[in-house]
Amino acid sequence: MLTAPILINIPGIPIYWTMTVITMIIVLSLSFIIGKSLKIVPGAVQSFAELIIIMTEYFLKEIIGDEGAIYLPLIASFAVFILFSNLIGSIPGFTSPTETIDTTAALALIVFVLSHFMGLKKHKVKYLKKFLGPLIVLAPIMIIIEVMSALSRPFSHALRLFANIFAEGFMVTVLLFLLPWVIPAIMMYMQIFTDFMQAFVFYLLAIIYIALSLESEEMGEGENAL
Amino acid sequence: MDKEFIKQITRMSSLGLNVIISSIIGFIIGYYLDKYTGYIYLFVIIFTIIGFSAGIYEIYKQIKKELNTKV
Repeated sequence: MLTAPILINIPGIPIYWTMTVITMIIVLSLSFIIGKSLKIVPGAVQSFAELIIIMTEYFLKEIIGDEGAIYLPLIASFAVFILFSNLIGSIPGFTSPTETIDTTAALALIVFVLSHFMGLKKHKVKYLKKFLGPLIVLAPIMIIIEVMSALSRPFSHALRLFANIFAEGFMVTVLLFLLPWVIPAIMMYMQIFTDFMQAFVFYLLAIIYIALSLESEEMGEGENAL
Repeated sequence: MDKEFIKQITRMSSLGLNVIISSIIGFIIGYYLDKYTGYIYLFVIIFTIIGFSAGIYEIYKQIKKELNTKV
């Protein structure tokens, strides 16, 4: 398989571990610098950080409701971490940590476990009723179907981010061998757009999955009656 | 952009992938059940069909919800 050359490659340690650590260092030092030098009239970097927090606050309030405020730290750090780990792949000599399914699966599992845990905490035993389907007669079949569709969520969540980022990195590498210099540069420009898009989609789906397990069954039936 | 529009796009874009992935999960469950019980292809077929219907059911649920919130 064609692979682009990697700048930092410590033998014995997978490349994406190194890249994850580099991304973490970038994100942490950037947020440290922003936190130290807060201004009333923000500069470019501070405005970007403020934009992410305000946007997350807005989406949490719109999709989950008032109880969504406690997810702000998690979801906002998802946005920043995924965005930076996508973008680091555009720099020659680096690859995105999200190019392997391990990183994205870890992120998707956090959302999966958290959403079901919070749903169970909020609705107690009633939460399990969601898995029984609408009719009690059909419950033995519906429970398999419901569990399967619940299981497919983290898979599709992880696979979407991984596949898109992997595909764009691979495509640029292949084009570099086939049609050097001009076409890959255009593709790399497109890559930045997809990086932003995929980070946004992952982030929004995380909020939606949490909201889906938090919403109550009674409200859904009430809506059906209307 | 309209916020309702963004939410709809994100939710709907996940549905297509769900059908394939739940079929694959069904296939994997069936494959290991077959290995465990000694049948050939019985559980693979049953669980792939169940997985596929799980994907379709998810689409049905989402569309129903979408139509209810619109009206």
